Amino acid sequence: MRIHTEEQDKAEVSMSPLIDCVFLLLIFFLVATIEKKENRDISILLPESQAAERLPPDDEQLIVGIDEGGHFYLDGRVASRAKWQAALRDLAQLDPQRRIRVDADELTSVEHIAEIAFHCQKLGLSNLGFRTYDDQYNRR
Amino acid sequence: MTTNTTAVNSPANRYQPPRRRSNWGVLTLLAIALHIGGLGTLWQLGFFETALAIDKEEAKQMAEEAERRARERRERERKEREERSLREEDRDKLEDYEREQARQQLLAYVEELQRIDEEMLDLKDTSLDGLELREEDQYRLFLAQQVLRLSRGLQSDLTNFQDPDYRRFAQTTARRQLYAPLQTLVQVAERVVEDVNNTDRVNSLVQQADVNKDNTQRLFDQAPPSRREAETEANATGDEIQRLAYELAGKHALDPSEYRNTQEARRNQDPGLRPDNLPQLSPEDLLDLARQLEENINQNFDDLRAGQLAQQLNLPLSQVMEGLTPSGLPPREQPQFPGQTPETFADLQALQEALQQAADLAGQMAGRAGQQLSSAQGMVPGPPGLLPGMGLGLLPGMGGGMGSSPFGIGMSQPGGTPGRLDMRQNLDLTPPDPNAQGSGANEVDNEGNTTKGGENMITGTRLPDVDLANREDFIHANSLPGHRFSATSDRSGWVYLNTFYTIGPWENNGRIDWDNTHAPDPQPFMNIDLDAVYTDGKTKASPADRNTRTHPNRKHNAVIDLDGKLRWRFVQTDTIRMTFPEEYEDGTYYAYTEVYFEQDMDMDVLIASDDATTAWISNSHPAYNAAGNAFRFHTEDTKSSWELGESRKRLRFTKGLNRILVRLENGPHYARLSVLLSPVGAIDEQAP
Repeated sequence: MRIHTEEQDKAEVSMSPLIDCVFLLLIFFLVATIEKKENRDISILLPESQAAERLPPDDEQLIVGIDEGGHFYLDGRVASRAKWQAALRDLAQLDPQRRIRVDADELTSVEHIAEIAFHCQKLGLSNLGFRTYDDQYNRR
Repeated sequence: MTTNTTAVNSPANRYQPPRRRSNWGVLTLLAIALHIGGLGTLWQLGFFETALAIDKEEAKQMAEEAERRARERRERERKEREERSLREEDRDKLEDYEREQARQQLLAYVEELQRIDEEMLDLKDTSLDGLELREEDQYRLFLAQQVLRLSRGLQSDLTNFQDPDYRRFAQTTARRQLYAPLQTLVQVAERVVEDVNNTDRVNSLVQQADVNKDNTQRLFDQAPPSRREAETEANATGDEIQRLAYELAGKHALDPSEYRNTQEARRNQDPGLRPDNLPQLSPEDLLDLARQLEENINQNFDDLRAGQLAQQLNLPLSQVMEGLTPSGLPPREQPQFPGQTPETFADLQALQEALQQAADLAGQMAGRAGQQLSSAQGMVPGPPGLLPGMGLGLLPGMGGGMGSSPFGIGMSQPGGTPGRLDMRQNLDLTPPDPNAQGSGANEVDNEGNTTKGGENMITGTRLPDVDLANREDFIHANSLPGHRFSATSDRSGWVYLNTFYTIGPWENNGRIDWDNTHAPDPQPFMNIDLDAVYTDGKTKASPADRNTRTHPNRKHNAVIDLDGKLRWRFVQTDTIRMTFPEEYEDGTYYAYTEVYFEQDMDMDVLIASDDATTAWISNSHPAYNAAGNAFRFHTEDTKSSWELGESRKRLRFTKGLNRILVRLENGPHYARLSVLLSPVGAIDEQAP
């Protein structure tokens, strides 16, 4: 015959799985937060400038990149002419004052930069800037 | 009973409380969390960054050290190689080979420079011919006005001279001997200004200027010594009046024909400048020749610039030429050619470098000369003024003369196709609708003509006849590039489109056949894919083609094989007339661009080309927006050279982006295009 003791009647919840879950959630959110900002830089050598102006970071800006071979990028991803031109057209409709940054390799042919400038001028997008090499920023 | 009790209390059956595993689990997780936290803290404090930075620094030093050693080894090996002697039997062969390679490159550049020199000379002749004719009267008038102004000034100065001694002197002797002739001089100058071509009056002016000069000199010699300053000034004025009067009686200060003769004489005297001698010339001689050609081109280009400025500023050509900054560059570093056959590898390398430097130098000259030619072609307004049959870019036998008449219709010689008249006949100009003036919606006359492409060919409004030939200089001088239009803009003149995407050539076998469609043609809608690559392009280029002269695969008089791959290229030009970057004969080209209108606007559109063109303009009228079609702006079917005003229509552009696609059929020589837009009436209001 089984004897029921008091101790046997106490129900006990194991904390281990709960803490496991909490930590897993913590790590998940930590990683998710870090990965939220998409890297929109492309692998290029930026031109140096003595007169560049340092601007505050702007996550909303549109970034059009051009590498040494004249290939275009939109927000860090390879883009066709149709794609980045459509993005500029959309921007002209929605937010003409939004900043546009051109990341061009120092060896990029100037005609590609002129091409972007031409479309911005035509669409009335005047908040256009060119990214240059920043010793402090690019070293990190 | 005992047994039962024993059974219950035996160790095997005794109650065992559950193990407290959770305590260990919590401790383990806490330890992990502490580690993670610790690592995170260290990371935040930059511990890892510092550690990695040290590693990077060490690695960088090691890499630099390795690179330095490799560089030293390469340098050592290079020195050893250079010091090695060449085999005697190879020396001449190697030198000949290197020189021949460089000579071929130089030859191509010199031929290009010669061609540019010829074209620049033709352009200058054309420009100066017109300038000479136009300026003769203007310049004479300018001189007469100057004489009149100076004479009046001298008269006024002498009259108002505030000096008691001089006034006494002037009121006695000088009054009769100086003032009276001076008054006569002023009167004669006034009569000359009224008619500068009256020889008698001009001769009289010269005589009077001589008298005035003598009087001034003589009378001031008698004047008190304290009047030396006034004497100097009056004498200088008298000299200037005399010089201008003589110039007025003589001929033009600059005689373009004399200059041309000098050029021709120099060319004939220099045997090296003749094309048939080029293959025999050494690289050194070819480089010298390139330098001479560059000087010629610079000189001719400067003359052209001066001519254009003289027209725009309404100044004498000679005066503008004196004040013009020469376009020649400061002396460049010249290659040092070794004086003897190379004996070592180092000598051979020095020869290679010198030859390469010479070729590069000639290439720079050719490139710069090409830019100058392009600019010059933008300055000189097409072939009007040439003799019949001499139009640039025309096929033999098709040289219809294009003289400018008040009706804008050219004359043709027997055997030649009428030039401008032919173009007008090929325009789709419908009679003006008297009820539709000024209204874009009513201006379009939909005839319903359907082309093979399926789009409706709808004609624009016929514009009133305006002789653009007299206004082209003005338009050239006052047009600005632009692609965005606003009714509120401060500037409302002509705007030329300077930015295009171009593609071509497709083979057209020398024929103009709009039915032979290619991918960019609207079929039926305009659908341009700027990322597309087409593989059905032209594959053969003739030796006469301009581009083959500098093509890397060029061989003497050989047909160049092109790969037939075509991509859209971004082109921006600083002149009204755009040159296609890939310029081959007998090819079909396309140029695509976009313009933005902030509101609906009626515009005069001028499209001109060398040779034939048809264009589509989408969004240019609401009627086509609904159908998705483009307005077809058909210009001409003849192979004629570029002329600014060869086709002109009035269109209504709608708010937003308007797309323009131009198809150009190129025959011989050049592929040129210009597209100008102007608000309605600007041409009539602004032209002088």
